[in-house]
This record gives sequence, C-alpha cells and structure tokens, in this order.
Amino acid sequence: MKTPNNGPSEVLLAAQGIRKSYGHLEILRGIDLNLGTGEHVSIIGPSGSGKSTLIRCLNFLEMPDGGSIDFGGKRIWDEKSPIKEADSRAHRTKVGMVFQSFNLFATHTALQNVSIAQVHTLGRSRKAADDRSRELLDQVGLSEHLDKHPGQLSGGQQQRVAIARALAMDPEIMLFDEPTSAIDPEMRVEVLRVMKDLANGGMTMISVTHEFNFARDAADRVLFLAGGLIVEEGTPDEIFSAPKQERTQQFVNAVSGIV
Amino acid sequence: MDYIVESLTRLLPGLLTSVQMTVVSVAIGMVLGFLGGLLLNNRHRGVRYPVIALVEVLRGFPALLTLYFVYFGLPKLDVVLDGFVAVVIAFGLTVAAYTAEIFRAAIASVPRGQREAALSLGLRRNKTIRLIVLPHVLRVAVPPLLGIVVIAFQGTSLAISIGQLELTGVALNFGMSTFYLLPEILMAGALYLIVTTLLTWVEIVSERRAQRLSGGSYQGSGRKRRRGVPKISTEALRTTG
Repeated sequence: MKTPNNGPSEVLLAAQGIRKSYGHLEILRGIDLNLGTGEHVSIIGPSGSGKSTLIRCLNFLEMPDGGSIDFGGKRIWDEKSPIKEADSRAHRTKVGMVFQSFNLFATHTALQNVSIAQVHTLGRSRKAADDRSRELLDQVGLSEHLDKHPGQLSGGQQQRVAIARALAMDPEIMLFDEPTSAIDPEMRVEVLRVMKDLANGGMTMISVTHEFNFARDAADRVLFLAGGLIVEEGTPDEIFSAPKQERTQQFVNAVSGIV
Repeated sequence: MDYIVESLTRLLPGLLTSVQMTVVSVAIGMVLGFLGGLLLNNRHRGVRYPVIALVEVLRGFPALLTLYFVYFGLPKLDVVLDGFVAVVIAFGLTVAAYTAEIFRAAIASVPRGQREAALSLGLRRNKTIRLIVLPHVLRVAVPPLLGIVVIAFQGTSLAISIGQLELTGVALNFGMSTFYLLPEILMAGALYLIVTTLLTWVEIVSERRAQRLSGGSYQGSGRKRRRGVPKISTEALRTTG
C-alpha cells in the first residue's frame, strides 16, 4: 500500500457522467471520477473497456460527447460549452501525459525532448530548461543518455524520458496510459519504480495499467472498468483480494493467471 | 593530355550551365512540391483531387514535351520566354510533380503519436509543425529528393533541343563539327558521372540518417495514405527524364 496522504485533500479533478461514442459504438457510458490532490487512482479493465479513452478525454485528446469536467474547482468543460483551443492548451500544460508508445520526438535527443516544451510552451530560457531537464533525467536514472536519440534507447529508457518530459511542465496531475504495455517485461521495473516514487512523493496520478502488483503497492484507489462503465471501485485490497462483483473477480483471476 | 585540358576548358562552362539549370529548377520544383505535398494531405477531397490531377499530368508528360510546351507552345498565347527561363520553368514543374508525392508521403509518415505528444505538452500548432513535423519530414524526404536532383541534373541535357547549350550541348556541338565526337562524348559523360556519383554518395549517407528515425518510437501513422510510403521509383523516372 502506498504511503497515505495527510488528512483530507481537496478535489483536484471531478469528471461527471463522461460519455463518448465512435459512430454507433459506445465506448464510455457515463463515468464519474473524482480525484483528490495527491491521490493516485489506478484503472484496470479488459481491452476495449474504455480505459484509454477515459484518460484521453481528461486532457481533451478526445472530446467527450457528454458529461462535465471540473479541474481545480473550476468547470472547464461540459457538453453545453465546448472548450476553446487556447483553454484546452492551457489545461494540457497542467496535465502530464505518458503514452503507451512513448511518442518521443524521434529527431530530437533525450535532453531536447524534455526541454522543448519548457522553452516553447512555458517560455523558460534554454539554459533554465536544460538544467531542469538534466535534473529530471537524472532522477529517472538516465543522466548518461542525455544526447541519445529515441532510436538508440530501449523501450524502458524511452518511457522514462517521456515521463521526465511530462514532469518538466510541472504538471498538477499525471496521466499514464498503459505505460509499460509496450516494454519488455524485465525493462518495466525501472519505469514502475519511477512511477511508484512519484506516487509516494505526493503526485496526483491516474494510471491505466495491467500491473496489479504496482497498483497494489502504489495506488490509493482502484477502478475496474468494463463495457464503458465503472463496475467496481475500492482500495487495492478490496479489488484484488475481495472483489464484490463477479465480473471483477473473473478479470482479476484471469490476469493473475488463476484458472 | 593536351586534348583533355583543352576539352575541359570547353566543357566546364557547359557543366556550370547544367548545374545552374539544375539548381534553379530544383529550387522552384521543391517549393512547389512542398506546397503540393501539404495540399495532398488536406482533409478535403476538393483540395486534394485537383492537385492529384495536376501531378499526374505533369508526371505523365515526358519532360521534353513539357519543355516544348513552355518554349514553343506558350508563345502562341503571347508568353515568350528566354531559353534558360523556359528550361527552368519546364523542369521546375516536372520536379514539383515528382517531389509533391515525396513530400506528401514524408508528411504522412510523421507518427500521429508525436503530434499528440506535442498537443499534450501544450505546443501551438505552428510550433509543432516547425519543431516536430518539419525536421521529421526533411529527414525522411531528403534521400528520395536527392534522387530527383540526380535525375534533374541529367535531364538538363534535354535543353539542347531548344538550343540551350549546357554540358551535352557544348560537347555535341564541338564533337559533330570536328573529328572528336567520341572522346568529347566520353569527356562529358565523365563529368556527369563525377557529379552524379557525388550526389548519390550524399544520398546514401542521408538515407542512413533517415533510417535511424525508424529505430525508435516510429510507427506507421494512423492516417490514410493515397499510396504506400515513399514509393519513388527512380528507374521509372530515368526513362522519362
């Protein structure tokens, strides 16, 4: 279990009734998700259950079809008032996103990947940005690879660069979209360690993951998503050891390899 | 030996003309080609289809025919052009048609995930194009573009047909009026060979650099493509050129 947060924390993110369809296919059928400052929620569930779509809606990489999103106590989006380009850009700078396929800029070095948005979005000087990037890349154990291009790094290393790149924006919340699914099993450890350190350090986080051990150790709360709905929600212990819903039990057993 | 020196003093100015024609027509062609590539990636069919038609026509026409059209055809419409200008316009259009396809494929090859990453970092669209898309496009497009430059360079020999004397023209002119046709042709050929070999070498080096891009987070883009990724058959071009 993660080190608990001190005292009750204010709600940072409140998503209500999030719906999203592609054509006739309903991906999200009304999801409520509240997140306190410093809280870490892990989302688990089968493929196609809408996990990725949900967190992509939270920084408007996908536009939800219905519902509302409050951030820092302010309504930033609901179905009646579409968000302006400038507002969604401002929101995205507060939200760090880590993708399954890393999505590093292939023509840029590790250091440049981490610095580029500090300079061009936040307006930091190149030197201040590079200093901060070195610090972050050191923190994720990559200080020896500053000048390498993504193609020269392993999946685990690329993902750690991607995490540093997101952290460089000093986000208020980090979103992880299956960050270890595209990485060789033995290379996942380092990425998971970095994420665990972040969670224990009080970073507000949502992680979509199939790594149950990680969720057990590092999450405050676990959501089980299936068919576009939250089937069950609880502490890691409740979900992994004593799930109430049959569907949750099936899924947890299947992923843990219990027949 | 004397002949070689004497021949070189004659041919080198011709080579210079060839190089000038190549540089100007390639410059015109690439600017138009890049615009074409952007338009070919446009979401709207109404924009894409006319460009596709234009590209197909210009690729379908032999370069010689396009040159004749510009030099002999346009004067009928009261547009009279100087020989050199006609050459660079005609070849510029042909180069544009071929490079449009290269740029289209290169722009489409920027992985969608990289644009999403740029979005999620709050980068503005113009900065995303300048800082993320353009470097990628250039890295991918340079090797096939250099292939086009080689062909354009050799293609300038067609200029003789409207009396513009570049390397081939100078060599043939002298060779036919003396008994030195064969050695003169060989000398000119050697000069062409030297330049194209240099260009090909640069092409190979840049190709290696481009391939490094695909080692990492490079995945196919999610967008539809009009055709496969950079499908540039240089053999096909050589026969038209």
